[in-house]
Amino acid sequence: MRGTTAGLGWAALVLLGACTPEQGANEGPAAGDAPDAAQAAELLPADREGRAALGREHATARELYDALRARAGGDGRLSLDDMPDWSGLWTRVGPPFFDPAQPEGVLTTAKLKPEARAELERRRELAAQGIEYDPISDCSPPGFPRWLAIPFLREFIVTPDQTWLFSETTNNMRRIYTDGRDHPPAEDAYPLYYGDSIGFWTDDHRLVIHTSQIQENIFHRNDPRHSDQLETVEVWRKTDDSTITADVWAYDPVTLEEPWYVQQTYKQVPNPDKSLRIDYWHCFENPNNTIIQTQEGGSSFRDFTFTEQDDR
Amino acid sequence: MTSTKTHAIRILPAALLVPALAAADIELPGTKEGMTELGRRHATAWDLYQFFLEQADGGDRKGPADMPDWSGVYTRNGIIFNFDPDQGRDRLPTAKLTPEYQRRLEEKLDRIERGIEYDPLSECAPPGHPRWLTEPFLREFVPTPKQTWLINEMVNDIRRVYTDGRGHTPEEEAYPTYNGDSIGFWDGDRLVVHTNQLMAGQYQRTQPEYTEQVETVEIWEKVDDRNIVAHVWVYDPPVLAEPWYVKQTYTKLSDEQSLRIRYWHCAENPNNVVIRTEEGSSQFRDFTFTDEDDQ
Repeated sequence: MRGTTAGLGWAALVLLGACTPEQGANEGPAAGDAPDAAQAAELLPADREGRAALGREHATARELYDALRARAGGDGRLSLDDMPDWSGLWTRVGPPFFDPAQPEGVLTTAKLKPEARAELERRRELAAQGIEYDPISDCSPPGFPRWLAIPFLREFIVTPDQTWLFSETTNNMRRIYTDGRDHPPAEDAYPLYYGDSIGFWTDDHRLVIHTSQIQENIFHRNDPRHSDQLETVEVWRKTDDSTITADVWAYDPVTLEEPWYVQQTYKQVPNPDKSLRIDYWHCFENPNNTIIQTQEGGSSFRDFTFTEQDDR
Repeated sequence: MTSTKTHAIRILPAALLVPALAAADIELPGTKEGMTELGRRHATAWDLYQFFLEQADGGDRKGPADMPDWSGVYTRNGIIFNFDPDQGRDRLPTAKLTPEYQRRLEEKLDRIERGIEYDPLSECAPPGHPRWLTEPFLREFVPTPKQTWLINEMVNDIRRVYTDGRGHTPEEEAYPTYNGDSIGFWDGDRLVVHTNQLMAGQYQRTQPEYTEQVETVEIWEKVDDRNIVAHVWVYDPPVLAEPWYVKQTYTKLSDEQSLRIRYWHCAENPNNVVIRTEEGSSQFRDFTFTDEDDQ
């Protein structure tokens, strides 16, 4: 049973989406949590091309992460006396592509390997014919990094040792360990919907994350596939009272010719009377959600066909 | 960051605010019977919550540095199918039920003994609160000044307790939800919670049902380095002849660094597609375990 929450979430998305996608490409002045703009600027180049180039300078996501760790200095830990305030409800803004800055009519801004490009073109052609299947139709989680681009409400819960990044859709929760632990050893690791994420904090309240152990999936419904060799680096930061951005570098030697840099933007959803709350998302509550993939790669409801004889 | 009583904030200039007080003001009886009697003395869960709020002088306003350390991964202690851990191996629960719901429970237990049983969890439905309190698997508890998240790994089930001073959703906008609507306040390092707007359900598979009128009061506190307890009073006039007091205990697991909670995708395994039969039992959807029909 879900009523007002989802409705308000959509409303916020519609209201905010139209005015903010461009913000993803241009980080605004430091404000709120970021007292030292000069220091913040040093961690990352100022413009999109510079950040994309930063990705190309490093062969792997882990190398970029380690370089940012060295560049940030400090102990990488948050202090309870100096915590960023990321409370409230948020929603992603921008078009339904993994890269919000993707120009209209462009296949993708990712530089794909030939096979991955051919797969995406084939999938787009089928979608144009109405043949399309998306695992989330069957209540599967979007997985990461697609998680970055899905709609509805979000919460970002910050504590010194761990940050929880929550999305309302199928109750998706990412856990970022900032207590100094590393990833599980290779012999204990296996691909996961949300991978395994470790991170550190900069002195100006940027959360830098490295994620590995990610399952093979799609970046978004109309975006390329990625392999289970994908790894990412993210830099999260509250840029003003109502905006949090995430700079993202995706490395996937199987599908990407070079790291794919994108910036996601999340806007705080106005909630002056605090009436907007996230409830449990029970995807299976509505039997219409029981959708299966057809042999030709399309989608079909499991138990009815919309013909007069077979409807139930 | 200091912890102060909200009533003190109302009447004192900021410069005079007293430093953090971790001690709780609410005096809880030392015995289970005393806790049960405390519930009996209040006609509704809201009355009991207001009583605690008054004892706590309106509760403490906390900053990040004042929050108790509930970090780590926990799991519930006790026999899984009992809402009250004190039920032990007894067939019937410790609740004092109304005659109608006593009869319904006994009929249900009789059916279970004959192998006729259906649990909505088999079909990936969430357990809902207050059953949430009894579920197994891993848990995280994340207290922050304005909101506390109570997380159970199973079906990614998250309760939110608002401690920013807001009230419940107005009646005209309220409707039953799986985990209800929870508001609370801090009394020292104790979190006091009132929950309403709950959907009907069952306390556990072999336990009584509850109706949409169910409401709860909980007091959560960390009692030592490894244990967090929740004192729970349940009010549900159609089902309970008097409030049902139980104490739940959640123990921190020792292997914190390597043990991590992952996404719970209930439907990943098609064996989870279970439906309710016409007689009230359970059946897998697409196969019957006979030689001819297995797939």
